[in-house]
Amino acid sequence: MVVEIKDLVKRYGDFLAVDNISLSIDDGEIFGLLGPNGAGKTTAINCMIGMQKQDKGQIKLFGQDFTGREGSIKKEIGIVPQDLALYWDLTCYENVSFFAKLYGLKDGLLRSRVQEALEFTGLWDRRKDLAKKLSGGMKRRLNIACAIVHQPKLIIMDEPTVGIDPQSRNHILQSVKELNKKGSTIIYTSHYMEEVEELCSRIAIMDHGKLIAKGTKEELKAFITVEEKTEFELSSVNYTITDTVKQVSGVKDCVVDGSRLTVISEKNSRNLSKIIDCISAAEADILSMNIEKPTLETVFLTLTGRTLRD
Amino acid sequence: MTILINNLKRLSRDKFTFIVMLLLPIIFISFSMYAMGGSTPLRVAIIDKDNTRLTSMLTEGLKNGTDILEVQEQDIKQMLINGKLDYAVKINEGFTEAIINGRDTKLETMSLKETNTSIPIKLYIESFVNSSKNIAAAAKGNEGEFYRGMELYVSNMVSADYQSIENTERDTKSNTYLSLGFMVMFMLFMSTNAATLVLEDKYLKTYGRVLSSPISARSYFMQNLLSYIVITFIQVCVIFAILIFVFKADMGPSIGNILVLFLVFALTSVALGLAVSSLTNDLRQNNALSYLITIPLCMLGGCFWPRDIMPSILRQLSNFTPVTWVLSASEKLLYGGSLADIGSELMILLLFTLVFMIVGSNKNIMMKA
Amino acid sequence: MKALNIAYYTILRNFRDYKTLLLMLALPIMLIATMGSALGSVFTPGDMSVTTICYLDEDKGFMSQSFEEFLESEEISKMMQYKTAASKEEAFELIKDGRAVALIVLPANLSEDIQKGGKASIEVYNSKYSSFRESIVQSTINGFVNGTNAQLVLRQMGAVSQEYEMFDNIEETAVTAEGNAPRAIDYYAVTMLVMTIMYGTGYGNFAMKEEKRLNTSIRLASAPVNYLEVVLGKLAGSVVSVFLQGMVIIAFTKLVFNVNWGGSLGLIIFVCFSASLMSVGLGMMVSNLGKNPQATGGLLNLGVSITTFLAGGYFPSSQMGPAMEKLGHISPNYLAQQAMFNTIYGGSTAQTTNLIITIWAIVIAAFIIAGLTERRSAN
Ligand SMILES: Nc1ncnc2c1ncn2[C@@H]1O[C@H](COP(=O)(O)OP(=O)(O)OP(=O)(O)O)[C@@H](O)[C@H]1O
Ligand SMILES: [Mg+2]
Repeated sequence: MVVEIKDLVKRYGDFLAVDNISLSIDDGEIFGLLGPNGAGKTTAINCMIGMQKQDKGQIKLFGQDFTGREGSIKKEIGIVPQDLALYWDLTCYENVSFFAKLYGLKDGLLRSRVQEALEFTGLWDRRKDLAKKLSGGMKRRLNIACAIVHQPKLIIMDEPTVGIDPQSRNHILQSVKELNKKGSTIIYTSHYMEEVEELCSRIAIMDHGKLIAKGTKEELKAFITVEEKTEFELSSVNYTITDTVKQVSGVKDCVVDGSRLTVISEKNSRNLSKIIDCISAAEADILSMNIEKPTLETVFLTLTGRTLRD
Repeated sequence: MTILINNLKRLSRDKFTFIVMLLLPIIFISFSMYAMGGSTPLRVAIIDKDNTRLTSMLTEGLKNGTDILEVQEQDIKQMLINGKLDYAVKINEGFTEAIINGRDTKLETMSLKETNTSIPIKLYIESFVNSSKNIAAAAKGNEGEFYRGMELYVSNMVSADYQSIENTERDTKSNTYLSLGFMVMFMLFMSTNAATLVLEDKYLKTYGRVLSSPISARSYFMQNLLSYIVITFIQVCVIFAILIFVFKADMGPSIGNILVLFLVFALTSVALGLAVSSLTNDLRQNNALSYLITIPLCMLGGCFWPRDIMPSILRQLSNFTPVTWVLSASEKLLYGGSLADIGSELMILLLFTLVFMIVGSNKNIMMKA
Repeated sequence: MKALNIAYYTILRNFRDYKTLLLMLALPIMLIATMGSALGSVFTPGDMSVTTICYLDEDKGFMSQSFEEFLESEEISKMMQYKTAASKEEAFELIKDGRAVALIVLPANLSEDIQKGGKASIEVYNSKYSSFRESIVQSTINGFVNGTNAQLVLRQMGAVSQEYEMFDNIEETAVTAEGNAPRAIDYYAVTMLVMTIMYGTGYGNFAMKEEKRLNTSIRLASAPVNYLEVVLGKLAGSVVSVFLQGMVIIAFTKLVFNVNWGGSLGLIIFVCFSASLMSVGLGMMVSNLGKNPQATGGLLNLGVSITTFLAGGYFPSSQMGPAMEKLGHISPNYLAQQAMFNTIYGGSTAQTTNLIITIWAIVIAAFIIAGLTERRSAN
C-alpha cells in the first residue's frame, strides 16, 4: 500500500471539510479523486502531504505513519498544487532547480534531473524564460515539472489541467501515463470525467466532504443499472425495421421519430451488430449512429444529484 | 457607489493596519505639536574640582541665562564638536585659594573654534573671575572679608530685570503652520498608499472584470478617487479637531477656509497617488516610486524646513511642487488672509490635480498590467 | 544547507526586480547629493549672525555712558548691534516682528540710584521663544552688570582708591569641528543609509506572506525541509538583500561623494548588519500582527518615513527644538545613526555599545513577537 487513510476528519471552524474518509491506494495505481467544487478534495490532499493538520484520523504513507514531518516520507512525494505555485520572477530552470534542491539534489544529479523534468514537460527550450512570461499551458507544465524533478514515488496532482487548451491537456495526460509507467503511483483529481476515465484504474468520488463511492471504473458503473441507448439516423425508415429490430435479443424497445430510430437495449447486451444487420436487411443506409453507454458522468449524477462541473 | 463602499470595506478589513494607519498621523502630529519649536539656550559644562563657595557662586551666576549640563570630562570635546555643548569650564583644585591669596590663576575653558556663539559666556565668566580677583585684592587675603565682598557682589546691587513681552499668538501660529506641513506630508504618503488598492485589483485580475462590467472605466476611476478622498478628508478633520480642541491651536480667522484648502489638496494628493500607481505594475515598484516622488516633494515644498534656507535654484524648483503652494496658501490663511487671497494658489493646486488625473486615468497605462 | 539555498534564491529574486531596486537606491543617493549640497549651512558651525537689540536710555547718566562703551567695545560689537529706540512701544513692535531680540532700558535715575548705593536695575524686555538669542543677550548683560557690581563692591569695601584691574582669567582651548563633525553630505549619507535599511522592513513584511500568496507555501510544506529552515532561509535572504543595499550606498557615497565613513569601517558594517536584522525583524513582526501584506506594507513605509523624520534623517532634529530632539531618540533609526556617528567621529564607545545592544534587544523582541504571531498553516 502506498497510501492508507483511515477516518480522516478536517474542520474549518464548524465546517466539516473532510468527513471521515478512508482510502487505500496500491503501488503503481493511477487513482482518481472526483468531486464537485468544494467537495473537500484539496483539503484531503493538504492533510495527506502535511500542509494541514487533520483533526482526526490516521495517514500512512509507504506503510509508515505520517504526521507531516517525516522527511524520509516527504522525499518520496511530489505535489502539483491546484493553484500555480511558482516564483514568477525566476526562470523555469531556476524554479525547478530551487525545488529540486529542497529535496537534497546536488551537482550533476541536480542538473540532469532538472533537465529531465524540463524536457519531460517540454519546457527545456524555454528554460531561460521567466515563469511569468510563459503561456497558461506552459505555466501548468512548469507547475508539474517542479513536482516531479525529484522523481517521487507518489505524485499528487490536484487538477493539473484546469484552464488550458486541449493540446496542452493531451500532453499532460500523456505525461501522467508515462510517469505512471516509470513506476510512480499517482493521485489525480479532476473535474473532467473523460480524463479520469482515460487515466485512472480506480476512482473515489467525494461530495460534501464524504467519500460516497470508490472502486474500479466498472465497479462504479455497475452501481447503476441503466439501459444502453443507440440512436440511428437513417436514409429511409419503414416499419418492418422496427419489427425486426425488436426481435433482436436484449432489445427492449424501438421507436421511430421521422428518420431517427432509437433502440433501447439491456445493459451489456452486445447486440449492436445484429441491429445493424436488421437495418441493412431493410435496405436503409445508416447516416449516423450514436451509442450512449453508462459513463462516470451518469454514475456521478445518480450518486450526487449534481453534475461535476457547474 | 458600489466601488466606494467596497473600497472602504476592503480598507477596514485588516483592522490592525487600518487603525494604525488612521492613528499614526494623528499621534505623530499631536506629539510634534507638543514637542516642536523653541530653541536650546546656550549650554555650559562646569567641571568643578575646587568645590568652594566661590565656585558655586560662579555656577549659580551662570544658571542665569544658560543651561548647565552634567557632563563627564572626557565627553566634553565630542559634545562641543557635535553641537551638544557650547562651552566648558574646568575649575582646578586650589583655584579659590589662589584667588584669595592674590596669586595668578586661570580657568581652563574649551570652546569650538568655528563659532563665536560662546563669547557671551566667556565674557560673563571673565568678568566674574576678574571681579573676584579685584575683590580679593581689596580684601587683602582675608577670606572672611573676601566672601563678604563676594556676597555683596552676587547680591547684585545693580541687576538686570528680565521681563517677557510675550505675544503667545505668534508662537502657536508657527506651530500650527508646522503641523500643517506634517499633515501635507501625511496626506501625500496616505494617498500613495491608498492607491495600492488599484494595484491589488490589477494583481487579483479583478480590474479587467470591473472594466468589462457595466461600470465604465471613468466611473471606476472616479469612485476610487472618491473613496480615498473620503478617507483622507476624515483624517484631516480629525487632526484639525485635535489641533483645535486639544492643543488650542490658532488656526487663523477662518477654520472653514483652511478646510476648503485642504479639501482641494486632498484631491491633489489622491490624484498624485493614482498617477503614481498607474505608472507602476506591482506593489514594491509603486512603493519605491511613490517615496521617490513624495519625499523630495515634501522637502522642496517646505514640510520639514523653511524654504528660505535652501539655495535659490532649489527654491525656484520648489515652485513646481503642489506642496509649496498649499503651504504658502495655509500660511496666508493663518495670518488673516481670505479665500480670495489664496485664489491663485487654489488655481495652481487644481491645475496640478488636473495634470495628475490625466496621467492617472490614462487607460492605456492602466491596462498595461 | 537547505536554508542557505532558500536564502540564495530569496536574494536572487529580490535583486531580479532590479527596477525597484534601482529606484530604492536612487532615492537615498539623490537625497544625499541634493541635501548634502543644499543644506551645507545648517551643518557647518559658523559665526552666528549679529544679534540686534533695542536700547532705550532714560537715564542719561554715567551708567548710560559706560553701557554704551560696553556695547561698542570690540568684542561685543562683533556679535551684537543696537538700535536706539524712541519708545518702548516702538521697540516692542520691532521685537514682535522679529527685527530685534530684546529691549534694554536704562531707567531714569539709574545712575543716581547707584550713586546713592541703593538697589537699581536695568530692565530687559525679551521674547521667550528664542531661547538661544535670549541666552546671548542675557549672558552679555550679566557680564556688564558683573563689572558694575564689582566696582560698587570695591567702593563699599573701602578700597576707593583701588583701580579696577584687568587680569588674565581664562586659558581657552579651541577644538575644531573640521573633520571631527559631519558635513551635510556626511550627515545625510548616514541618515539616508539607515533610512534605506529601514525600508528593508518591506522584505520582512513580504518574506513569509509572499509564499502564501504565491501558493509556494504548499510546496515548501510538502518538501522534506523544516519549517524553521524555511523561515531562517527567508530571513537570511531578506537580511542580506537589505544589507547589500546598504553596502552599495556606503561604497557609492565613499567613492563618488567622498563621504567620510571614518576609520573603523568594520564597525560601521556591523552596525549596518545589525540594523538590517532589526529592520527585517520589525517588518516580519508588523506583517504578522496585521493581515493583508499590502496594507501592512503601506503601513511600514509610512512608519519608516516617520521614524526617519523623528531621528532627524531629513533634517537634523537638533534644529527642531530640544523636545523634538528627545522625541527622536525613540526612533529605531536613531540607534543606528548615532552608533555610526559615534564610530566615525570618535564618540563615546560606551554609548555606541549601548546603542548596538539596544538594536539587538529590538531584534530579539521583534523575532519573539513575530514567532508568537506566526500563523503557520495556509488558512
Ligand atoms: N482555509 C479555509 N478556511 C475555511 N474553509 C475552507 C478553507 N479551505 C477550504 N475551505 C472549505 O472547505 C471546503 C472544501 O474545500 P476544498 O478546497 O477541499 O474543495 P475541492 O474539492 O478541492 O474543490 P475544488 O474542486 O473547487 O478545488 C469548501 O467548502 C471550502 O470552502
Ligand atoms: Mg481543489
